[in-house]
Amino acid sequence: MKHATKKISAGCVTLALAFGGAGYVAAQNKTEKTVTTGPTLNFYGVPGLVDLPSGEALPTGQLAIGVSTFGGQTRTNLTFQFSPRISATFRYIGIQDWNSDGFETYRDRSFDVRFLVAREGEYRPAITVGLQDFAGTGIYAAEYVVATKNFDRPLSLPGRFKVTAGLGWGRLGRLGDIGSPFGDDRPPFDPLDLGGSPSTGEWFRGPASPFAGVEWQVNDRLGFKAEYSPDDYEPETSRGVFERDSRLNFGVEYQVSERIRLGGYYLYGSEIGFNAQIQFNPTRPATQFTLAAPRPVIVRPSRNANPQAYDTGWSTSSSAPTVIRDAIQPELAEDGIRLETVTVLSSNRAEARVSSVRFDNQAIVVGRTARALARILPPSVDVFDIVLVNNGLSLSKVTLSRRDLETLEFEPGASDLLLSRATIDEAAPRPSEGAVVVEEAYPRFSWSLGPYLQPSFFDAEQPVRADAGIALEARYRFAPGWLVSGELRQRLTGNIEDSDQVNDTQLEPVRTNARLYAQEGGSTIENLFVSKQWKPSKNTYARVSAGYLEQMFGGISTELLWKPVNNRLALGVEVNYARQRNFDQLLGFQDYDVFTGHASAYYDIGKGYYGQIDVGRYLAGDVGATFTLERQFANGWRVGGFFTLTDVSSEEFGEGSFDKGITLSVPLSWFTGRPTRQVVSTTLRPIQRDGGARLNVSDRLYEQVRDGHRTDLVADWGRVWD
Amino acid sequence: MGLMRKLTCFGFGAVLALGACSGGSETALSQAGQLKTIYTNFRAATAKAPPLPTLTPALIDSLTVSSLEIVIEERGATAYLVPFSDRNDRRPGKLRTWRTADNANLVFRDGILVTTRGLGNDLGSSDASSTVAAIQTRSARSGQRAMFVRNGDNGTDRINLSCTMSNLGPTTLSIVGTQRSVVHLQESCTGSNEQITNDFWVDRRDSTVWQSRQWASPELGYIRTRLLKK
Repeated sequence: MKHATKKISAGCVTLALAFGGAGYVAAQNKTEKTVTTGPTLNFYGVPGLVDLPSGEALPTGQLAIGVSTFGGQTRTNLTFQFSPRISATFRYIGIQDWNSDGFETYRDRSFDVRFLVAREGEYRPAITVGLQDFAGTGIYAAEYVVATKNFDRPLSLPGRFKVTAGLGWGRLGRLGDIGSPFGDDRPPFDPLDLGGSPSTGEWFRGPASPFAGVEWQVNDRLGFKAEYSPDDYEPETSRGVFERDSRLNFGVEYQVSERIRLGGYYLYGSEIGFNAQIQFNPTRPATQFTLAAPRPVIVRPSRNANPQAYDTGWSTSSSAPTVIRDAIQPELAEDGIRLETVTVLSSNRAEARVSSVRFDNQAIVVGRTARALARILPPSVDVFDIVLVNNGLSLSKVTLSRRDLETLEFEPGASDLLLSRATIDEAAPRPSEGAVVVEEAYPRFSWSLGPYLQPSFFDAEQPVRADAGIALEARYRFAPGWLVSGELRQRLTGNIEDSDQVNDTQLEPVRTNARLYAQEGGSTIENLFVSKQWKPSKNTYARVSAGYLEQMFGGISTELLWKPVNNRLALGVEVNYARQRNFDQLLGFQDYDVFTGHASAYYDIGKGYYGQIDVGRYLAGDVGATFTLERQFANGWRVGGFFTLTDVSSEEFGEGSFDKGITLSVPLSWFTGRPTRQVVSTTLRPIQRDGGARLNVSDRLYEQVRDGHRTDLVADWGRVWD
Repeated sequence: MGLMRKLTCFGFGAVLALGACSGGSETALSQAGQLKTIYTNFRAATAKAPPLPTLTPALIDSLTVSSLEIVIEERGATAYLVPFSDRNDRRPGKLRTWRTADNANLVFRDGILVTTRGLGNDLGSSDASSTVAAIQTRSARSGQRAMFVRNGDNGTDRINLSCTMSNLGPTTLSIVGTQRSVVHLQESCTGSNEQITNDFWVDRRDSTVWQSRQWASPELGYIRTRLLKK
C-alpha cells in the first residue's frame, strides 16, 4: 500500500480510482463511544432548558448549532464557546404570519454573548450573565443572571438533575416581575429600527422577573425538561402569530449520537415544538488524523566503533551536493514534501529548503525532512538546517541536532524534548551560497474542473441563496514566488439574481449590487491575475498582485509585512488601486475606481487567540478601522468575529448600522483524517452593505507567513515525530 | 421553481455525481479540488479490507520473517506485522518497530508497547521502564508509567499511571498449535481518569512476551498481541 494520500494525478475521479487496502487497521467498524452529555441547548441555541437559558458554559471551543421551531417561529442558532468563560451566538430567525410592519414573515438576525461568572463548585452553582439579542433590532432583547446546579442521583432516582433559577430583564422580565431594580427606561421593541448597534442604555433596564426550571438526564440518552417562563411573547401574540396560554414548558430530549440531540416539546400551553441540537468540538476531529508511519531514524555508528565513517573528505567533493540532492529528493517527494534546494554548509552542517502542498502542519514537514536527512547525509553531518518555504517565501529556519533525533525518538515526551533542543529562527530570503537547486521545483502547473457553489446569506427574504455551476481553475508558478492564476465560471443555476432587495444604498454600491452581477453573469472570469511575492529582508515579506483580483474589482494590490519569526506582533501595509468590473464579469470595467488600503497590526495573544486591527480607506472611499478577534486551533480550525467602524453614519450605512460578521475556516483534513491543505472557509455577515468593504485579494501575506512561524510550529509540534 | 430550473438543478446534480477533475503538481484548493478529496476519502473509507489469511501451523512454519498478530479491540481490526527495525537506546529493553501492510508502526520495548504511529490517536511515546524491569525478571513489581498520547489538536496529553505487576502463575499457552510454557503477569494501573489492566504471557525461560493485551491510549483502547513467529 502506497501512502494514503497519493499525489493527485491528472484525470477525472472515476470509479476506477483504486485506493488499495487503505488503512484497514485504522478504519474498521469503529465502535460507538458512550454518549457524553454536557450542557444541552435551549430554543435560542445556548445552554439551557426549553426556552430559558441556564448557568452552565459549553466546553471550551465547542461549536453548537441549534435549529428550533414552534408556533411558526424558527430560529437557527450558531454558538461558539470562545474561551472557558465567554461564548457568542449568532441567530437567524423567521416568524411566520407576522403580517405587519411590511413583513409577511418577519426575519431578523441577532447576536448574544454570555459570560460565565462562576464555575460550578461542590456547593456553588455555575453562574452566567447573558445578553440576548444585544445589538440587533431587539425583538429577542433580554438580559439575565442565571444559576445552575447539578445533582447526581437525587432522591435515589437514576441519572442527574440540573436545577436552574435566574432573574431576567427585557423579554425575560415580562411576567411576574419584582419591579425595576436598575430603572425602567426601556423602549419597546421597534421592528423597523436599523439595529446593529449595542443597545447599552437598555441593558438590565425595565422590570425584572425570576424564572426557573429543571432538567433530568435519566441516562446517557434520555432527558426531560420543565420550566416556568416569564416571557409573554407580546410582539408575537399581539400579531396573532400564536396563542400563549401558560407559563409552563415541557420537553423530552434524546441523544442520538455524541454530536446530535433531538427534542420534542409542549410550549406555552398551546404549541408543539422541536429542537435539533448539534454540538461538536474542533479539538475532536470527525475522523482522527492518520498518516502513514515514517521510517525509523537511522542511527549512525558510534565514532569510536567506526571512525572512518566520520571522514569529512566527501564535503570537498564538488559532486557531493548533487548526489545528496538526488538521493533526498525522491524520499521527500514520497512524503509529499518538495525539496527546493540543498546546501552543504560544511562537513558537519547542511541546509535543506522544503515546501509542502500536502501538509498544513509544518512540524510534520520538519520531522519528515529531518528523518530523510538522517538517512542520507554522511555521518559527519551533525546539524540540519531545515528552511520552511511557502510559495517563494522562506518562513523560518528550524535547526536540529542529528544526535537529538537519534537519541530522542523513543524517549518519553519525545516531542517536547526535541522542541526544547530545536532552534527556530529567521530564514534568509535566499538559499545560502553553494545551494544546489532542484530543477523540478519549477515550473509548476495545476488545474481543476468541477462544480462550484457560491452562497449568499441572510437577505430580507431568504436565509440562504446560492448560485452554482462549473468552474475551471488553473494556477501556474513559473519561478519562485510568481503565480499566474485564473478561474472561469459557467453559472448553471441559482437564485441570487432573484433577490428583491431594493438597492437603497447611499454609498457607492461596491457590494450591494451582487444581484446585478448574478443577473448578468453567465460565463464569467471569476478572477485572473498575476502575483509575485518575495522577502526583501529576513523578516519582511512583500507581495504585488495585478489583474482581475475578485468578482467585482480588478486592479493592483501591493502589500508589505514585517513579521519576525519569534515575535507575537506583526505590522503590515497594503495599498491597492481597484476599479469596479462590469456586471458581466468579463474583461471590461465600470467608471468607479478607488485607492484603498490599510495599515494593519496583528497580534498573537497566545493560546490560539489572535487580534488584528486594520486602519485605512475602504472600497466605497470611507475611512475607518476593522477589529478582528480569532481563535485558531492547531488542527487548522479558525473561528473569528470582526466589525468595522468607518466615517459612514448608521443612516448612510443602512440596515445593520455598521459592517460586522463571523469567519469560519474548517480544514478538510478534520473530516477526512488525511493530510491536505484544503480548507473550507466562509464569512457570515448579518447583512452585506457598502460601508467598511474591503477588496478580496487572495494570498494575503500574514495568513501565509504565520503558518511557519514559532507559534504555529509549536502548536503543531506534537506531530513532529509522525 | 419552474420546470426549466428543475431540469437545470437535475443537470447540476448529475455534474456533482460525475465529480470533479483536477491535475498538475499541486493539490487544487478550489471547490472542485475539495470535492475530489472528499470523494477519494469516501472511497478509501468504504473500501473493503483485504481478507485475512487463515492461520495454520504450516503457514507459520513457512514464514521466513518474524510475525506479530495485533487486534485493536475498539476497532475490531486485526493485522499481521513484520519487523521494520531494531535498536537500543539508553533505556533498558530492546526496541523493535513492527510494521503493518498499510504502513502503521507499533514499537515495543521488550514486548511492551511504547509507541504507535499511523493508527490515529497514537501513543506518541511512553516511559515503561518499571514494566520492562518487571517483565525481564518475571516478578511482581510496582512502579510509575507515563504515556504521552496524541490529542485531536496536534498536541500531546500526558497520562501518569501508578502500576502494580502481579504474577498470576505459570500456565501453558497455545498459539496456532504451538504450546508455550509461560508465566501470566498482570499489571494494574491507576491514573487520574484511568483504571487499566495489562496482561502479559511471558516465556518462562527467556522472558519473551508471547501474548499480551495492552492499553494504548484512551481512543485506541486495548491492543492484543500474539507473537506468531519469533
